Amino acid sequence: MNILVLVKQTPDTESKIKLNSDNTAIETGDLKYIINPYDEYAIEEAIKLSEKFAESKVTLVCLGNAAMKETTDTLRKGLAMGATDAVLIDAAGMNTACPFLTANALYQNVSQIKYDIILAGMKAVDDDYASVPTLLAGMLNIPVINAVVKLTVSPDQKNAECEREGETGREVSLTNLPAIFSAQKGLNEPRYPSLKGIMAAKKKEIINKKAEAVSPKIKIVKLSTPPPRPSGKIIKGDFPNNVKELASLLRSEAKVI
Amino acid sequence: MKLDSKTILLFVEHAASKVKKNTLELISAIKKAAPAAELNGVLLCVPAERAQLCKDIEKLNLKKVFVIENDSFATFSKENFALAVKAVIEKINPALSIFSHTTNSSETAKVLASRTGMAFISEAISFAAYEDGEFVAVHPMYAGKIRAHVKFENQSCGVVTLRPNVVEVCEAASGAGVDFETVAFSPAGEGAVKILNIIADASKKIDLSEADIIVAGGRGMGSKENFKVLEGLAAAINGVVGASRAAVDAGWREHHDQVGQTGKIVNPKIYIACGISGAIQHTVGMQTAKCIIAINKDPEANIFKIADYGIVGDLFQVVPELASELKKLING
Repeated sequence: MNILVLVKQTPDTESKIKLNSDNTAIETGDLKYIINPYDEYAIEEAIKLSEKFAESKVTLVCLGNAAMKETTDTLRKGLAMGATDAVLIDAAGMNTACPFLTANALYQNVSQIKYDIILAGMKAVDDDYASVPTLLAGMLNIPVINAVVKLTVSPDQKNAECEREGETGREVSLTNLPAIFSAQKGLNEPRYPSLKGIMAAKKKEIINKKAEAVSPKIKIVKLSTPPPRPSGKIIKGDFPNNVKELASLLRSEAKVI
Repeated sequence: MKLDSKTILLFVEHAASKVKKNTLELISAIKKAAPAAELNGVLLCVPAERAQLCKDIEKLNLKKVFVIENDSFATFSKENFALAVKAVIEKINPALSIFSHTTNSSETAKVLASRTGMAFISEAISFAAYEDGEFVAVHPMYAGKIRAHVKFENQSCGVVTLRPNVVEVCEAASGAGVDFETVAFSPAGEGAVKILNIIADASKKIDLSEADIIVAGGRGMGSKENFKVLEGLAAAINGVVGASRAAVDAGWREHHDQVGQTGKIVNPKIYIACGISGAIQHTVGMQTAKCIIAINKDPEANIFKIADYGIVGDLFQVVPELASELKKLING
């Protein structure tokens, strides 16, 4: 089974994000990067599938700046977890602030690779658009199911049953393969790379690819930071008087009850 | 893209034969950014719901609503819903199609954009017209640590979704009445994706991202059973229970209850944080709540820095007392 996993690096979720002086980009100098957390679930699921189906291959596909160490670090970590190959599409000079461009660059390369299933994180915790898997599915003309928490591929690898949190309950659906599934937290517990895996990953070649840039469809005019919340008050006094005061403030002052 | 007096299509969301509040939020948000635009709606419903829904829609500030009634809409299918909206788009060529960013409608919007190639801005928190008249959607990035002001680039049409609960509804009844037009539609038939079953979750009254009142617990809850105390407060004030990542990772709550950067971003009227320290991964998910109340035994906890009201104390004492005090006020 040929499994592709779309991955990228993102700033650590504990990071404070600051803007540059003209509000056009974020300051990246001090940032610590991690694999996008949702992509880790996608990688884990891919490896689990490869363990279940003989002669499987897990190929990581990343659109990123090839000159940036964090990009190759992300791919090495995925390889250390157990992926077999890694493809890096160089995004240098590309406006990846538009999900269409990202999806298109992935499309140009993914359409040249044999695949039975494509996994991705349900969103990247940097731009938070959560659109690329769906846009890519449109370009490849294959089904997409987002934010899955359970995935079962049929023994003949022709279809897959999956579950996701819908509006009124858990949706169980069946889809033909190939298809794209984006991973939600709860799908699995990502493994830690083994020492053996880490050593093997260092020796693996990262396959470099390119993509033709297309015109972006959306553009960022500027960035801003949200207004800070004014600091509130700690209600002094002993229990239960403090609680009584809180209840009364919620009505008289905050007017929310 | 300048909206001026162009046509906008708005997806009317409904549940239990009633138009949902987020539809009113969409109208309020877009009226502010494009007051001169012609605002039309699209309603997808099963035939039995049509009359009741149209009665509800008549009060809305919309010029015309295109109605597609079909039995297939009883079960949500993003492909089928997108195909139906596309039928209306092909008819009226709107410059902009807007949806609420709810679990289902955000999927419909994404599929619509992906299958038509229309430009798409996901999960805005507000719309604006810039000085030059350019339509701009504000989209939070890094879970809201940063806001991106995004415009369509060289596009004649686009799709945008608006996060629920972030826009104040300005009640502006049109008084002019709404025109209805029925649009014919053949459902997609059995597509590549088949919904086999929807396992209803009885405890799930409302999605966290649409809730008005959230009572959330963190590491300080100590156990799964202890969340009962929060369930009690939530029941007293008609709220829903949420959780921090620590509580979810400990296995005390389901992942769909998680608030924060790797969970849900919520905007309730009241957010009561109990035993939550206030790590940035959590606070970015709830910092836009109208009123934040923190209950924590650690006076140094970060959560107090963003809370409107704080009580330093034992949550197992404070929460039940608060439930009974608030109940008195509500019933009083």
